[in-house]
Amino acid sequence: MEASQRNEVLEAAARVRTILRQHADTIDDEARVCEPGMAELRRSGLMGLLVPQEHGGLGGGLTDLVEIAQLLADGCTSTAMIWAMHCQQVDTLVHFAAPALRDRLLPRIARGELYLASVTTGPSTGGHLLSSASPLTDTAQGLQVDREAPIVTGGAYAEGFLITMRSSPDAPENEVSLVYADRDQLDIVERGDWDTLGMRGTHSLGLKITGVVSRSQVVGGDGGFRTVALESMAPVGHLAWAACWLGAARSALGELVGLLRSAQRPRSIDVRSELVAERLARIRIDLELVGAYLNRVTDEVIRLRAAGTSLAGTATQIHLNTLKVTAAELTFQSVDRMVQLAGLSIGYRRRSAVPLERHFRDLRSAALNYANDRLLTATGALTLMDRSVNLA
Amino acid sequence: MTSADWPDDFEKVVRQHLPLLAEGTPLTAESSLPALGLDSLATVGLLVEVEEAFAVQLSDEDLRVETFATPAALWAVVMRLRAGAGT
Repeated sequence: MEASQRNEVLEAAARVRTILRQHADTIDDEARVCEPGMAELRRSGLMGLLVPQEHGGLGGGLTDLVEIAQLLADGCTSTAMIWAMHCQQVDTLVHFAAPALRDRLLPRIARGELYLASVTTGPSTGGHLLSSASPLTDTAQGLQVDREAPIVTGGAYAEGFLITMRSSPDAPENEVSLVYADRDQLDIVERGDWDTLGMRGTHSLGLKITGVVSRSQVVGGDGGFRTVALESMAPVGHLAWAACWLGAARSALGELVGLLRSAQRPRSIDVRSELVAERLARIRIDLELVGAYLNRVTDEVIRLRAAGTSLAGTATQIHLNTLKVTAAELTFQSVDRMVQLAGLSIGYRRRSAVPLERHFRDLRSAALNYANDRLLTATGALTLMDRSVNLA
Repeated sequence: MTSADWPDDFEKVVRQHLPLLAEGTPLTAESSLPALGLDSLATVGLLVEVEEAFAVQLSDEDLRVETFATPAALWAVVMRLRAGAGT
């Protein structure tokens, strides 16, 4: 992306942010998707950020992705996550869809007509990305999809879905294929509701999905999801999620500092006190570390991809897992610290001058969204395989 | 290469770490270990047990995805280390 176009894209993202801010409290109250924000994201071309220019997209890269995700999360963390996860699916299509499928889908994405949701969790596998219980069944009409999906972010609104399925009825659980399905190829029954502590504007629903797709809609080859996950879905997801959480925490700190510098600051907070200074320093340090590590790992992924090197190497996997775990822990910790600093009336109360209470609830999800526990187990095992301790 | 190219001890250790390999199904030289359920934690278990059983220690250079891709790749590394230890 050229510098002038990059500025235009950032301006477009800033316009979306303004809309997201206006609606953030309402969509949090009502646990629904921010439709005005989604409409502006579609209109602005940002849904096609990662679509190459020859397919009508903005041709942005991962640096743009993490920058814009932070900007959007400054407006509304839920909508930023919806957008970030859509971009994650787009990256997968760009890198792994067969040319005919790419030619068909990418221009629609670039025009803002195709919002992609992902269906990668199953009733028995939870968020375990690399296994799926429901098999694809080969029929005369094509591949039959029949699947329960306990949590699908934006599932009620998406026009298209990337769905993990066991590659055939005889295949083992970890032989997983990824298929693309248009909404009109599927019968979708919504199950349950989304009444959660935070991230309420993602409106993540349980879905029962059935339908038939053509064989050309398998993305990454039969049983090829493991590679898709290692090279695209997991790394781009971790970068984008970390960016959303960081954007939310930065937004919180920015607003808190604004309040502390203003005449409206609570009398109970003495900004000249060493205690307040020390607390602010701790908060800032949390965000500095996440910001620097996010940039570092983003650059590593970009460098390896440019060189045609796999992202499945031991050290790179450790770095990506560490980014997700660290971003989840430190951004939540920073907001927890801001609540402590701001006190009951500003930090803990709904509709106070700074929405710390909403950020606190939203960021509590970070350690659960692709659970830190599983990533820590994997990272511990990988650590034993990297005696030379190749740090990021 | 067939399974006869490695000792029963090796086969036994490897099979213990492959939850998706059914009993009675042969382990071939080119069987994909990750596809048979060897995840990162299982890889550590396999590494430790192979090192103990065959009195070798894998070097940093050998601790690569490729080493744990197939039984043949892993056995080749073990044989190379054993040959080196004997000279």
